[in-house]
Amino acid sequence: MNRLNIPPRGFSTDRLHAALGDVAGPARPDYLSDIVAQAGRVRQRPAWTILERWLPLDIAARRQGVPRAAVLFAVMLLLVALLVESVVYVGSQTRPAPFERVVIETPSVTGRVASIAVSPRGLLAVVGGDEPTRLAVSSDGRKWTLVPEGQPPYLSNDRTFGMPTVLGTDGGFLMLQLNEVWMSENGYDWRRLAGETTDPDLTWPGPDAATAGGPGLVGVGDDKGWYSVDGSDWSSAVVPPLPAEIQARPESERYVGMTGVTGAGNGLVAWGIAEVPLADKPDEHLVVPLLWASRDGRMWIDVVDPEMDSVTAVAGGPGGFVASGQAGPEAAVWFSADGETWERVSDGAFTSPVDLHLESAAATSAGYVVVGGDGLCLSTSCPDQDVVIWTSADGRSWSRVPSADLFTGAKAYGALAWGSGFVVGGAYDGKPAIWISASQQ
Amino acid sequence: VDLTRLFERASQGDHEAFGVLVGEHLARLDTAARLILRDPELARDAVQEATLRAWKNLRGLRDPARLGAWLHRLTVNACLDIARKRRGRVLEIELTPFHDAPVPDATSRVADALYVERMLAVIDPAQRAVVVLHFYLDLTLPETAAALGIPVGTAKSRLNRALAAMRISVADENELPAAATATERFA
Repeated sequence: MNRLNIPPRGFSTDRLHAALGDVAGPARPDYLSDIVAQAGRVRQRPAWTILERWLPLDIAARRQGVPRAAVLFAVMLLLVALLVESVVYVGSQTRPAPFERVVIETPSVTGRVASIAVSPRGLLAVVGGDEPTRLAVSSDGRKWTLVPEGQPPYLSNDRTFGMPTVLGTDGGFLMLQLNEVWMSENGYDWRRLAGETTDPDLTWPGPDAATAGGPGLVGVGDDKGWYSVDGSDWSSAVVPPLPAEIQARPESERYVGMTGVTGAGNGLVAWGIAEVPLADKPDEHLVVPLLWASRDGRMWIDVVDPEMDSVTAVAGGPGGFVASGQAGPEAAVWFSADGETWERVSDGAFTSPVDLHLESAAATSAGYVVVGGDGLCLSTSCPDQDVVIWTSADGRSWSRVPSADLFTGAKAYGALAWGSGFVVGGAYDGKPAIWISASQQ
Repeated sequence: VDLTRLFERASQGDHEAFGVLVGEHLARLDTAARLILRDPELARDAVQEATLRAWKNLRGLRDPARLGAWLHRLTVNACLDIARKRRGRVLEIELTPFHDAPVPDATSRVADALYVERMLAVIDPAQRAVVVLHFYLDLTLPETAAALGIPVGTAKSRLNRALAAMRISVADENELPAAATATERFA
């Protein structure tokens, strides 16, 4: 949107912060007394407690002429029955704890696990956010070691160009960052496999995600696709045209981001979003999902289902593909045997009284898993979120993993198969954290 | 001041205690609203609307430490509501009294502010909200997304597009001035 025809100006985050403060001018709001007076005239909404809920029942019972002692006795009887039932249920559970949470402790970094990869050597996590991005490695998922800073690749973060993506291979790890591909056997020592300077097909901004498939590796990013035999030499793939409503707008006004790609059997599926401001409502945006399928990673077709309002992740497993996203106001999951024809499954299973977002999906040897965050809101307040996890053996019937304390105050960003179970990456209490499923423990 | 005690009092209906709590955040809320709406009176309306909603629902907030983040979210959403209602009308643009802010390198800082003010006018309120949340209120991208009720990817794309429209590239301090290509910056 270079309408003003002036060169771009570089800012540090601190300079931009200061400039924004200066634009607004010195803040001397003089209406605190008005706010206090306004509060004095308006009643607060009640926060229901057990006693407050009990009170109307008590009043109703008394009006019916039921003695309070009888009501209290009935309530006590009910509570004792529930207690006995709970003790019996807990005693019958012999399985180990279903999940283990591990916080990746770092001296200075807070943030989240943005990307996680599994190789035969163990796990590699990209941790950070607005802080400097760091890599952490672990052989067992429980004890993590930070990769020393100061050596290539220098990692971007959320304040610059976003955090890198990692994926596991039989020989180690690959990292995608900006328009470069890096490789490491152990997560510590990295060498550049390909980049803009040596590979003219890796034009800015390069692949944001990749997976094993096609001739070896397949990558997507922005509105492009690539394929490579071993990661050192990449070729551009043929990709579908953008949706008409996106294509119709000038390139400078639209954003297209292919954010992930996965494979299963002999098929590949890639997903992302395209966004443009509405022509008649420029402060609102049209966001449409993008979903591509391919047999070889060289040529892609558009397979988005009209019911999909967004696609946040796709996982490819032995039985087919599972996609998570949004259909209207509801979180939704779709299944496809071939990656091309999609059907919504478990209608109504992905519901929440509050604000549910499915962020990632993975396929394991035992089935599929989708993860996300559920804001436990009270009225307009949504200060906390819970990690939510659904599992499915066949990709069609889903059940939610029961809520637990170790999911509270946390959010999941990614899920990944690991051995016979899976691992979930996210943030807990503002720090990078992972959750390891029981079958992996 | 014991914020937890103040919060308890405010939750029990003590509006003076609520005033003390809001007072801690009011300047930043007001600044953020003025950046998004570019009109001090509308900004005041937005902040008052947000604080009123906060007061009404204060008992629903479980963690007092999150009050600031919650007020930011309510204020930004109130700003966007006001912007939607006033779509098509001309918004007044406030001139910035830079002379009030003495700084060591005043010339370049004034130039920065003039540039940013000019570029803020190019983008729409929804994009300004992302820029303000991320770069002025210092929320992380996930927090920015949560504050606006949009996916992280959407917040990221909106931020990137806003910066592109503002002709602004953001880099770490030691990377400035921005190099011509990403390879040169990061290799």
